[in-house]
Amino acid sequence: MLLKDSRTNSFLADSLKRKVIFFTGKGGVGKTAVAWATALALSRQKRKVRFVSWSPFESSSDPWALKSFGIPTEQLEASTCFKEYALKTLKFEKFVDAVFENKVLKAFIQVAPGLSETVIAGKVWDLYDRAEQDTIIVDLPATGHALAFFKSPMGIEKMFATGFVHRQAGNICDMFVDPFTRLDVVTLPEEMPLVESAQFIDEVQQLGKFPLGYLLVNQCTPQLPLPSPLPKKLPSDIKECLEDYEIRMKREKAAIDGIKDLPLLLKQIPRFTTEAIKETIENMADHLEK
Amino acid sequence: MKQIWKDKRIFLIGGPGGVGKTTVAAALGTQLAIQGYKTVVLTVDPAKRLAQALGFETFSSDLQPVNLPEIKETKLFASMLDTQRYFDKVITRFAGSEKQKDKILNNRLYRIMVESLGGSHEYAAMERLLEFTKDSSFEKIVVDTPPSQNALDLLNAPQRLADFMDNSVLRWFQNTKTPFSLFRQGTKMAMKLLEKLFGSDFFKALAEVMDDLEGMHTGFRDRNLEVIRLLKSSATGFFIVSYPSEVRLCESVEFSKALQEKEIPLSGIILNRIEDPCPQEVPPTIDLTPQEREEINQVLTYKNNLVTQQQHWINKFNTFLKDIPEIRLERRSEAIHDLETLSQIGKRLIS
Repeated sequence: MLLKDSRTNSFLADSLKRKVIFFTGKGGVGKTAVAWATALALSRQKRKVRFVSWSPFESSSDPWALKSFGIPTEQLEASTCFKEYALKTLKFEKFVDAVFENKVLKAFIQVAPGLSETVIAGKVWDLYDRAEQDTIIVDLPATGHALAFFKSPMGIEKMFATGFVHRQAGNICDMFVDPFTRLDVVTLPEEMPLVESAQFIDEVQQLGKFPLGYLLVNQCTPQLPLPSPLPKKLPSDIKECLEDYEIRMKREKAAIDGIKDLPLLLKQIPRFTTEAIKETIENMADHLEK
Repeated sequence: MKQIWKDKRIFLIGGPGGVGKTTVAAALGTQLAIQGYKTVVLTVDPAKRLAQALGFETFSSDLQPVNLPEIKETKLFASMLDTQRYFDKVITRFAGSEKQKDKILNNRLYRIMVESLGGSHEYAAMERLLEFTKDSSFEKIVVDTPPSQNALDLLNAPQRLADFMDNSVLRWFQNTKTPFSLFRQGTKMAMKLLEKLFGSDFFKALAEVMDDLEGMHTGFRDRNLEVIRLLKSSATGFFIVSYPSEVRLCESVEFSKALQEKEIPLSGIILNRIEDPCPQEVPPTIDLTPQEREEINQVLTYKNNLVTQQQHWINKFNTFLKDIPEIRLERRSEAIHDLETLSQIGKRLIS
């Protein structure tokens, strides 16, 4: 694993320097929990954090634990952001509600290539530009859609030859490559999620010079020491249990070792045995502070 | 073999990504085939995960026979869908003429639109499922549903596509020569806004695609109704693969509610990756050095904590989804990449 210049070994120290941190990862890897934990770790350092999430279709069913952490949270939605944007940029006050309730416009927002992504990215840019917070944590959808999120504003200048959207896209692209921005990928210590993460990183790199941050490997089996070889006199059920633990550790290590030369720093997050997601996030934040 | 696996013909395996859904679908298909049923397992996952689970690196065709060591006759088929190509086929079927078809398929915007509608994977999967159901030689059909960000996409995507193809929406985009004055006020303003935001060139191009799609709405609407009928049919069993944790419980409860609203019965919840119970500590009678004892007990404590954590959420699953049959599958410490293991898992599933 290469150690890249601007990043230090401390996840927290690096995060404190950033204005925007994007999180993505394959579905079901705990991407949202890791994003929350980062937000919590920063807010414990007295940073003003804003947490925004975006899911392209239905709103997701995440538990609402962050609310109790007192961090401002917002679920972004394309048509609302579009309305806000149109109102502000175009001074289009007349008939606004009639226009946005319109079936044509609704259909258009849903299908216009890259529109949702660009509008959401535009909203993030707006927050970044106003700088009312120290750090924006952006919980992006799973990797496929995240790629579209980065791709759309970049391709939009070609697609829309004129108009306001065309001009806005340039600002968004500047934010994406700002050295105070960071893109983290969350994954699991299993072969397929790791391979898919590497593919995503490869594709993102082909898009542009993104400030890539950390590959956060979630739910790693904690590396506890065991006598080697295992004592012979152990009862068979205990022996089985310990062997299973060793196999699991070995498999995880092999999967992680299989991913080489990534331009991201690797950070392992242990698997916690807490029951509620809120406690898990608190534990995770403790770990990220180390 | 339990009755449900005998009675139903179609098994939809849904749920969030990352819980082993593909493996469960492949395992079920393998075991049904071993039981003697001619079975097809359908997956649309572009990551080709089923292929890996079944021991293939790549699939050469849409429908691939899988030879099981136990039986002579080929009973298992795996189908991996190339959704973009399949969606083109759907367009071809619904297009009124050769000219309309070519015009749409050659349109650059059409491709991007299909992608951004988001439901094309789900739609293609449901289309392919309809085709399989019409082939009476398939006795069992197992569908590994697309790994949606939200499990409900599977149910909503065909509807969304049908809505989009709704004639009344399409008509607005067609005949762009129509003077704006003929539109209702809201539409007029919407059109002006869009033109201002995106420039007239882009807007014209979009109107053109919408124009090309004319006449296809009936096809999409009818297919959507057919899919819904199929999902509600008594021959179909809907299963959620999940995991005992807070986030997964929330998703599963929401999913089951959505199914209820659509009057689609949920046949079962498969809780995957359940830890085997293990002893609390090394019995004091066993002679070990203090360090050995401490290290071993630490690992045992960790594993027991995992078991307790899972048990807590298994209980919650039983409270919140008490009327739905639950099947538990244990966690495997080895990677699953052979038919032997798949058939073992399948055996546990159906017995």
